[in-house]
Amino acid sequence: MAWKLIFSRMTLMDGVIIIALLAGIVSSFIYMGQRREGSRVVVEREGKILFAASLDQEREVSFSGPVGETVLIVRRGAAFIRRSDCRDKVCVRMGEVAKVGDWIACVPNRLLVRVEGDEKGDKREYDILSR
Amino acid sequence: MTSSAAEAVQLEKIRREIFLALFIALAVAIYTVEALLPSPVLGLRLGFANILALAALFLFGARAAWTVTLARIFIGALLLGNLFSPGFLLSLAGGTAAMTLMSAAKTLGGRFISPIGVSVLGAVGHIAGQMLVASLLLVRHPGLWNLGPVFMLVAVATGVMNGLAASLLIETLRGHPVFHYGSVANADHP
Repeated sequence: MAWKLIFSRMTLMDGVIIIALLAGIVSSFIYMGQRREGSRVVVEREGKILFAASLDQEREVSFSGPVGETVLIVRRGAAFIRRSDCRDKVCVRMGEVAKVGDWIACVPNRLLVRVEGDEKGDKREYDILSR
Repeated sequence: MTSSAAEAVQLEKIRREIFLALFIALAVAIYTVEALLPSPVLGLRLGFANILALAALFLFGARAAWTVTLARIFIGALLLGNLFSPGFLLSLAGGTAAMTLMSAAKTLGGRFISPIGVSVLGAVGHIAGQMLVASLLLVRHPGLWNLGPVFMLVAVATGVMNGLAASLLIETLRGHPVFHYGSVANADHP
């Protein structure tokens, strides 16, 4: 019903625009999925590294910040925030990170969790990203 | 009551201005309410206020649509008390990018493009403008762009939805006597 209503009001050009945009989105998802699995997780606050560990070891680390505790879990090659004392819990809902370049931000607690690859390959990838 | 041609033109102009003022008022109201609602994910919003800019674009042209969007952002910022804050800058960047794309699409597409296509381009432009400014001013980290595809997907969906709403609104308004151009003088004498 709703689809019929939308299609009846669309022109050919609308369809072309939407399909082109969706194609671009799908290909960027595919491109992002092809990034390598990361090997290290790094936690930063305002550019300073607070914590770094291999993604292969199981860990549970707690960081205290301006609004309270933020608990980071590392397990099975991925990292995620289990709980945080902030209001919106955006960091918790950002889920797991595992691939090189993935990140989780805990803005109220000023934390940035990011995934890095092996030193060698990582450098190349970063140079492409940031030129 | 009799009205000369000159009066009819002036009447039409006044009616246009009244409708534009109503569009701005509605856009500000929607924008403010949306800003006060807790956002589901990372500042993603539905952008219903753009329905009014789309209506202005299709009924009155690009200038009117720019007026609705810019007035909405500035008046909304005064109401929310966030003038010149990061949130305001993001809104302004998004609104400017969206309006640039939408007015260009309407000019180039003419009658081959409907409010739905224009709306989708506007939503995508809004995200692009916001992300550009966010990456330059707020989040100086290349990882920000990882979120791009998710944001764009949401933008296409909300763009289609708002475009449909705008398309229905425009059709309804075109049935209103104010929008019967050329027969304005007759509207007073049914």
